[in-house]
Amino acid sequence: MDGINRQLKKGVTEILVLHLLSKMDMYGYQLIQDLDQKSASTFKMKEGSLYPILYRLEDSGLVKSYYKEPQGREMPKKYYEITPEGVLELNKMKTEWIRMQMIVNSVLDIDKEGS
Amino acid sequence: MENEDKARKFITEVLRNMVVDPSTKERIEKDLYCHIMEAAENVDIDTFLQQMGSPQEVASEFMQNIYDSDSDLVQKLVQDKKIPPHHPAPPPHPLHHLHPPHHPDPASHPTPPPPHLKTVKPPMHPVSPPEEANREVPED
Repeated sequence: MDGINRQLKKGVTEILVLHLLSKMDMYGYQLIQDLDQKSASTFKMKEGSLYPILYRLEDSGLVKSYYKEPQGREMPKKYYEITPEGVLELNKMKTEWIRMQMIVNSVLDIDKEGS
Repeated sequence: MENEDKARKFITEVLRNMVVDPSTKERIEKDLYCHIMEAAENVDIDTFLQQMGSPQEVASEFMQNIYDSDSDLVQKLVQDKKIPPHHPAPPPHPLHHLHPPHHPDPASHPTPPPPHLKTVKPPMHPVSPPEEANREVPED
């Protein structure tokens, strides 16, 4: 069951990360905290899961990163921001997510049984 | 020990347990450092490093997510260890099962490669075929 859960989460994490970045620029630690909080700890991401996703998104031009000048004694932080291509891709992903959700629900008879 | 030193020491251990190309390693090194220092502004660094897991666990998590599949990982390991590519043996004779070959001299029949090399699948993103393969052959 853990394996299935892991695969399901893996499939949707990219869209969640893109969505969070569409709201505001964030640094890695902030992304993990925000996702944890907004998902009621369902998506407790580890560093080894988040950064490879960010690398894929960055390498395909959907997000870009920049360092923000530190304020006072703060360390410089690496922020990620969504690109216009990323916004387009996010919209496509959301449409596809809704379509998939409907199809899977239909196959599983979830709508019919109301379960 | 200062936070920076603790972070560097932890990251060195993580990287020591990874098989990735140098540029990815450098990327991970920088990002993990930033990440730990970002966290250290909010929580105690020792507690945070403990929450991250052991360096081996962190490395393993990265590896599982960097490579799309086990076969990609095996390919990468083979490349990194500079293991020569495996050339498959010719197909057995149709009556092979009836007349098993006799090899009196083991030196002339080297030991087959270890099982993990036999199961290597083609990469997820196959290399484009050579130009010759796409060239049109004139009809006779």
